[in-house]
Amino acid sequence: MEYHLLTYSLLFLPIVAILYQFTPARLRWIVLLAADYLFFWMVSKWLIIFLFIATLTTYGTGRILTYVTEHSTVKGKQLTKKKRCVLALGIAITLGMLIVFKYLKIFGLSLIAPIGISYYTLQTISYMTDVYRGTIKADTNFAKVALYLSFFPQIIEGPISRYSQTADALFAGRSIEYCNLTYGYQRILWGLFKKMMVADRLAPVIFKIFGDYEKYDGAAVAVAVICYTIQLYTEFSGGMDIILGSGEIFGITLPENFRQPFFASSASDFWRRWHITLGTWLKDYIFYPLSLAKPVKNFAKKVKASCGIRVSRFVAPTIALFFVWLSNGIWHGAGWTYLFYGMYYFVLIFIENITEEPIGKLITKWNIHTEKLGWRLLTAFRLFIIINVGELFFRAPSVTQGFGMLGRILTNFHISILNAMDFGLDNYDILLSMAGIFIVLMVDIIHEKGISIRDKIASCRLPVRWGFWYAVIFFIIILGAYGAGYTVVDMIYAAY
Amino acid sequence: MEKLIEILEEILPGEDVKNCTTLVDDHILTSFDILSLVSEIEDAFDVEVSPAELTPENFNSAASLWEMIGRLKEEN
Amino acid sequence: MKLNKNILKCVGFLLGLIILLIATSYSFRRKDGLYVYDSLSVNVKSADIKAEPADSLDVLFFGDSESYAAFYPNYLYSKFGYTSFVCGTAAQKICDTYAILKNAFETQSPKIIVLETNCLFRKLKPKEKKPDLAMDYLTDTFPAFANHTMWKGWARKLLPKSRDVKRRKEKGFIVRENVIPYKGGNYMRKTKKKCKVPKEITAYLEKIIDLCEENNATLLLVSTPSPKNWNYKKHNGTKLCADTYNITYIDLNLDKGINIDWSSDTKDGGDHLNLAGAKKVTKFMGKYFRENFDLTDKRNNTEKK
Repeated sequence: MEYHLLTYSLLFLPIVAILYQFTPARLRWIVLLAADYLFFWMVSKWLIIFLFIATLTTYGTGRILTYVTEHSTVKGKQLTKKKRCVLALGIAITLGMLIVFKYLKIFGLSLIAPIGISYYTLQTISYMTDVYRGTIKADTNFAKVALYLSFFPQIIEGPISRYSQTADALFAGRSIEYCNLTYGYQRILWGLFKKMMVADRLAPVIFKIFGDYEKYDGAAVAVAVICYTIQLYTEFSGGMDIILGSGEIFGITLPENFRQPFFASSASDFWRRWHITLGTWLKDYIFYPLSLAKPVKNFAKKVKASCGIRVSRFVAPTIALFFVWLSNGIWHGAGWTYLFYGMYYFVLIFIENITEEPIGKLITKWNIHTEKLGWRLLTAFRLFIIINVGELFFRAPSVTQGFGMLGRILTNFHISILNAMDFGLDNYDILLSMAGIFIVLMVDIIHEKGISIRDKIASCRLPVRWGFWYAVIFFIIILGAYGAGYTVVDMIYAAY
Repeated sequence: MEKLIEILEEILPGEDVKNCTTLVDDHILTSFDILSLVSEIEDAFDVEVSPAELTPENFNSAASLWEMIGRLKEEN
Repeated sequence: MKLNKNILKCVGFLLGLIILLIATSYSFRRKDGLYVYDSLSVNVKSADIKAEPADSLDVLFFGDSESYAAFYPNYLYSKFGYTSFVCGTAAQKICDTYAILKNAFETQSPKIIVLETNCLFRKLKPKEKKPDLAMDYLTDTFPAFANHTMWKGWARKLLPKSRDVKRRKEKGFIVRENVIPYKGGNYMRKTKKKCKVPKEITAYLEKIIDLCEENNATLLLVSTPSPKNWNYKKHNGTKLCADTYNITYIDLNLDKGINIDWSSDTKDGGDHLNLAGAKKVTKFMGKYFRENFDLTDKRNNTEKK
């Protein structure tokens, strides 16, 4: 059951919420866990076994790590070695399942994967590693680990949370507060707005032009690419709004996955604002450990001796960065386009890192005011192009075709054809998608300024407040891109 | 402590490193800076920083960094 | 006390919402009171027909996407001088056929109505790949959901420039010249097995037959060539249905001398015909009309077209 279906927000979620509320607080976790497993069962049927194996492995590894630490006769390095073996075994089991389901395709063996395996596997690794590192204590409560790995709103497409972020709240069984309930549903409504007003409306353009780009002018291809970037953003962040809103109802604060990504100042800043939880996961469990690993450190020291600190300080981070972006690419799936996408950002961020200092000097030398609107618009425009080129390759059927599309945009670009171009949308839908994008942009600007729109509305008087929400609901009902004549796009990130 | 402040000022020129308590939370200290900082600290104080220590709590302020260094020294 | 007040507020908000839904649903009800599946397509197609000069069309073609890939009105006119229009819409359900036909008879008096038979097997409420129970319930209950695209019609009236619907140059046909051959070989293996036309669809077919009789038009059932969509079981089912209601049925999948070449006449590997295929089908239809009906050749009549 995908989250944008009304069956989820108007049927499944309310039923779970009511059952939850009428259960005594100390037993509420049972309702949640039952809902989690029911949800998983409805989508993936018997594949639920693999979730259970992953949960068992995660829980078991945590317990064994604690046991080894407390009862070990050896100390220091030998103990670390022992612990490392346990951790490696645990990760091998959960990561192994991910690899089997996701990457055996390369060898022609195509399996239907359990939903959310790409997401919950990362959570299993973070739990086990955190226990190993001692940042968290292994939980003795199996149910809590199970809850953490399977919370139904986040199971399909994240956010990837840490044990310390959600486990306690999931088990606590807090009552549903009026404020949480209304705020949660308001956020769900906003997610549906993004999905039904923008993402689904743009679908025909993308489908049509990415399907055979050779037939279209470069300008049309460029429009399709921009539409895809917008669709991906509204679809994925809209999904997150529904997911985080659902969590909010139960008083569970899931980590944010988006922070107005298009207002970033650079490619690396973009990734601190886009799919945040994947980025921080890669940072904590790949970037840091790799750059602090002995061989990498020793290599950096050698470089320092021969080339000086100005060069050597880039060595460790760059090696680690390469693996971060390799993982990011591969995580999205077994495909050259994803690998290319990862390497694209690796190169970009590498360039940004080594040019940061000289550019900074130039900015002071030429006396450029980076706070001025003109400069900021220029940066935003540059970043927008970078993002779109990335998403072009991300969505293209193959890397070659991606270059073909890029070539068409660069060599065969006639803005004039857009007037007569048939995008598969009528004029009303074009107009409405623009209006929808404008509203999303405005809301992002307001959020970027640090203003909470829901707080503002909640402080209005009741008739104004209700009038506003009724208006939003009817706006979606009447103008939404659903029903006959429209296609509802499957959740894009559920496929990764 | 002075040595630490010196290192911080070198990595973050122009920032009020002495009093700031949100170095990580406000994205003043990027992951790249953190790594440079770690290698400087390791050399200057003769400690070994493990990935587990790379948390916002440890890196948000000069004081918390100093505390971490002290702890690592003791463990050594 | 506070808790009760909050529950009251929630209930109040929902009640208000339901009242508003019922109230708005009045404006979203179809004026003709018909049940339609794809209200937008029905409205657009009806408007297209209304934009044609009154009583100017001899033949109307109905059906799903097969119809506007196979029946080519401009070709029919240039070869035979008969005027026609394709009223087929994507994945047309027969309830929508009925609604468009009813609207068409208001301004046109065609002599022949051709129904492409693939839509006899399209369920009125198709099963979705990912069913949405709540959405289906709301669509069935509140016209504001089912007919929400009506806003486009209102917008058209409000925006002065778009008030007049342009006449369709291709008269409902879509010109597609690309070729992806069909390589599957014979798909019409004789069998006695039948794929019956469902009851909910024959009910609408009866209404369409009555409507045609009232307006002095002849209904023809035609199966256009399509290996992807047609087989002998469907042929048998349609034949039985045609015999029951005593209507003429022509199955062009059993080659009637139209010589479809599957290596060049289909645009998507045997799902739809392309321009070349459409010309062959249209030529056959023109000959059939000439032999069996008394239509006038309007090519020398300057008033038309």
